[in-house]
Amino acid sequence: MTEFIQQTITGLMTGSLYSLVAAGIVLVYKSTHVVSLAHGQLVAFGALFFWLFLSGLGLPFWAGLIPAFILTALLGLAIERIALRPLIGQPLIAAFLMTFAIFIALEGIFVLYLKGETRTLPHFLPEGNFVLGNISVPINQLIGFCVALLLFAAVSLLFRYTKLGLGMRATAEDHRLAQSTGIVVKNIFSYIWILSGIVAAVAGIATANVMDIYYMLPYIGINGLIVAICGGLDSLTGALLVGLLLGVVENVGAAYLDPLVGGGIKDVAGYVVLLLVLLIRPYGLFGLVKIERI
Amino acid sequence: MGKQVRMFLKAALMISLGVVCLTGVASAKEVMYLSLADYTGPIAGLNVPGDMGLEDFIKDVNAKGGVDGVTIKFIGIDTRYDVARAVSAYKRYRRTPRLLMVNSISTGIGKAVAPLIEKDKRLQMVPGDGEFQAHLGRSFIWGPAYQDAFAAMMDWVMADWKKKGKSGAPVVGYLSWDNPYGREPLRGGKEYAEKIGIKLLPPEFFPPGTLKHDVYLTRLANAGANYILAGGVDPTPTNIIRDGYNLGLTKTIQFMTDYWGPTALGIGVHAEALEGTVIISFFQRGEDARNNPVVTDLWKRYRGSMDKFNEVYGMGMSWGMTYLAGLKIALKAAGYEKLEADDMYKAYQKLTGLNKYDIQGPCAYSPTSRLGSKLVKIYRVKAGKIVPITGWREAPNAVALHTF
Repeated sequence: MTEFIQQTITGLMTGSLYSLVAAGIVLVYKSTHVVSLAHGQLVAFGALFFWLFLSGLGLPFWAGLIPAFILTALLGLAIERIALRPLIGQPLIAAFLMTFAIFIALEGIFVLYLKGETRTLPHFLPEGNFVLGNISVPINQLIGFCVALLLFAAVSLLFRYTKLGLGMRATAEDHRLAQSTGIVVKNIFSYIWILSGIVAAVAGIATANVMDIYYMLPYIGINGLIVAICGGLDSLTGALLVGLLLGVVENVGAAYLDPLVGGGIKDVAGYVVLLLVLLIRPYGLFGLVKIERI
Repeated sequence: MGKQVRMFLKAALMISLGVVCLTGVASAKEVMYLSLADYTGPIAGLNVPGDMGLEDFIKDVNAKGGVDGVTIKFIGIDTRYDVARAVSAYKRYRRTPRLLMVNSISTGIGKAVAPLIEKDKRLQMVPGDGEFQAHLGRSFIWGPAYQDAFAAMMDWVMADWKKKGKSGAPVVGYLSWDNPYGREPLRGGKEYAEKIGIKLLPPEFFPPGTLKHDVYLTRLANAGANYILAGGVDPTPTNIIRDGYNLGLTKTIQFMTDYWGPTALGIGVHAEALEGTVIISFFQRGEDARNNPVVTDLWKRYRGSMDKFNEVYGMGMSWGMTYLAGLKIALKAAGYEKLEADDMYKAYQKLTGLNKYDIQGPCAYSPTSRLGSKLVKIYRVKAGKIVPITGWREAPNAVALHTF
């Protein structure tokens, strides 16, 4: 039982990172209806910018955090303005493929910069483990988990109670209708990419704090994408809950099924969950079911 | 019309001049070295400094006039550890005249390229695949085979266990990449461990690039592992041990790594977690490499400050030393005009005992051996430095224990 609880808690910690990554994808989809494959790179660059300010320039935590947010937000904005805005009015598949092209282009820069090396963030969170009986949780992961919950709460509040959030919700509902009420939809697109960039930076820093900055870091975007799709693509609640669920399924599945099947469960768990969810609920577990008249 | 004709003639003239120039360059006496390496993927941490050492060594040889006026051309291809990409690259270069060596930097790539190498009567170097020692062919291993190193590590475990005054059999866990490299050490290594009385837990495998290893480590710890051998190419073993450290396992379990364990790369990022880690190596590491004047001299001349020095650089130099020695023999035997890769293959079998300035043990290539050397050394991370805890010692022949 202890092992089960331990694996569940470890899974929740990892899952909160997936949720954070998925949040950025959901934000973009909610307003623009574009599924962004480039988000993993935003996550990786967010972490890299933070590392550059902390380790490269030797800035203290807060002084490094804010410019890292700004740079990642600007990267998000650049993607929207340079690559995606010219595609407004074109089929959504064009924008989808463009985000894939952006992923590949940014990956080239990322791996060439790293040259196979690892970048480790300096210790900016308390170290050690929180121990309760036989259960042990690294404190930095616990803080990452709490940050994820707070960020989801903050974004949800922004959507619900601010004018910007109202504009985003209106844009998500219907672009033309939003435009007719005086909302500048193109500006909303820019804001959403900026917000998505900031969320990606938080996700990147939280992930790199646990797993370092490594050539595979951008690929956490795939887990984020799985979570976003399973959660419903337009549901922040879905992103949070499915992220946590995926983390638990991966860890508990690997702990108990790996010995039976010879390993590999952790790596296929996400895809199995995706397959099952899409078969049973094609709009995702928390997604808005759209009824179209024929 | 006249203007168009003039433009056409100008273009034709430029192309002709280009062709003449290229032919001129090609007519220089040159032999090729093809490196199928990973410069941006999971094993780039090994390949980048390795090929830096090799390239600098080649530059140095060429600067001194080459071998009897024959210079060496280095061709590096970024495979990103992708077998298909590497095979395709080899096929692209296989018609290159005087391509005397292919260094297939990956066990999977080595296995895939081997049949083509045999067909082309060429030769390749591979990291540590014991199968090529079991079935002698045109694939030469860099040092002792992976299973031999695994066996040497098990010998150290037994000695350490006894030194600590423990009774019963030590329990050893092994986790590594789920690919030919990760599985190779157990093909003979497992048999050796069982033979000397070590209890080997079911191995754990995971794909290269896995970001967290908690679940595998927890399982090995719960199964009672006293020692864990973490495979993968740095930074993977460093990351495994980092996760073990965060779980508090490094206090009770002795972590060990194979050839591709922490170098300056891993130590630079997680020195605290790696403290006490034991590393087996066929090439000099850490302080040994930093104190080898042959290695540091070349580094300083081509790379400057020692701040970013990585000991894999020395291993790359040793590839160059082997190539140079083989080239000298092959040129003497065949002459430049008739020189073919097959001559190099014959030459490599005559390199027995070649001295590599202690970067690694003496070369063991011979008609009956494809081992780059038979010696390994064991290191430990102490106070953030990699220091030797044994001298060079011969690795047991674990290849012989397995049926390939």
